[in-house]
Amino acid sequence: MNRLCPQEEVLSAYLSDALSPSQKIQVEKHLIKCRDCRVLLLDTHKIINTVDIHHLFRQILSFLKTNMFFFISFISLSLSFLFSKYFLQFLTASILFGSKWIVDIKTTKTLIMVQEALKPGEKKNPTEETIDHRDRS
Amino acid sequence: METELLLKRCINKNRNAWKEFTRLYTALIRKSVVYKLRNLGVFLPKIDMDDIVQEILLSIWEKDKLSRIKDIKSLQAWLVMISINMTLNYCRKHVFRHAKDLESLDAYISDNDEARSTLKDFLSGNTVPAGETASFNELCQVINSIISGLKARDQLVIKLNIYDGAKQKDIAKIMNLPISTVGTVLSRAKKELKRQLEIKWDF
Repeated sequence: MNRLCPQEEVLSAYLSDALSPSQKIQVEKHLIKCRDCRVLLLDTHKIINTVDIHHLFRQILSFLKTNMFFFISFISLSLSFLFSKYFLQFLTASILFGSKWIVDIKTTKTLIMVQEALKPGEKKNPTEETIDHRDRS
Repeated sequence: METELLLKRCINKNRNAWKEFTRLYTALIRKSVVYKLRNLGVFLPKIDMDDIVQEILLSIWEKDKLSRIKDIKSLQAWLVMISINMTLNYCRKHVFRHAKDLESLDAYISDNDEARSTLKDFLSGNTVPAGETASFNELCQVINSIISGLKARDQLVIKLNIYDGAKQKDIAKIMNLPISTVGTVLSRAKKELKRQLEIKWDF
């Protein structure tokens, strides 16, 4: 891109059809002469319209990672039915991993925090404690 | 609407909004950097690619570039363009360090419609033979003179298709035209080109 080229915000607005007709004609006139800007437009169009397989793969991997204990628990439960000889062992493993998953997920953590905050009378406000102490003395 | 609010908060230098912005768009920036580097035939370690991504994000934040965006619809395209240009600048500074290489790179990416060899080939020394280039340039001049008489829109459609190898559906999306219009413009222009070339060069 050289100094005469339109800024990225103008070219991106052209690509998104957000320019006025007169601005659009101006940009088109420039694009006819400037190969850099045409290539930039084409590259941008390609990048936006192609699915990033690596990114998708990373997302799936992170989903599996966060729900790992759930899947292990599910597999253990399935195995317990397949190998009836070790039914109890697999079922125990399934329950353990299932509990671990339940404890780990965000919703449970939030619920525990809310429950602790709502518990009545366990912790007193420190300012109240000092007032009580003064009253006794 | 949410993106608009996020942008406004980022422009007002809200750090939490900026964190959310980076979480949402780092993948797109990285994708653009990887695409451009591959396009240039440059293979950098992951750590250098992370450096480029960080540099892009930092420049957006420090230079307050988000405030320049004209329309919220164009945010993604704008980010991709910024990333591509900054990757190119990074390569100029760090990869093509020698002045000779830099000159070659600049010559290649200058306003040159006739440049047809890929940058990868160019950098590895596989340039087009001189004689072939001359005849190719001549052909380009003839084509240019023929298409310069057309409407601006039609000229751009033809250049995107003939010089840059863009497909009809891509041209239609880029220029926001119906695909049938692009097809008509191209077929009409190609017929005219063929006719004129037959007269001029006796094809």
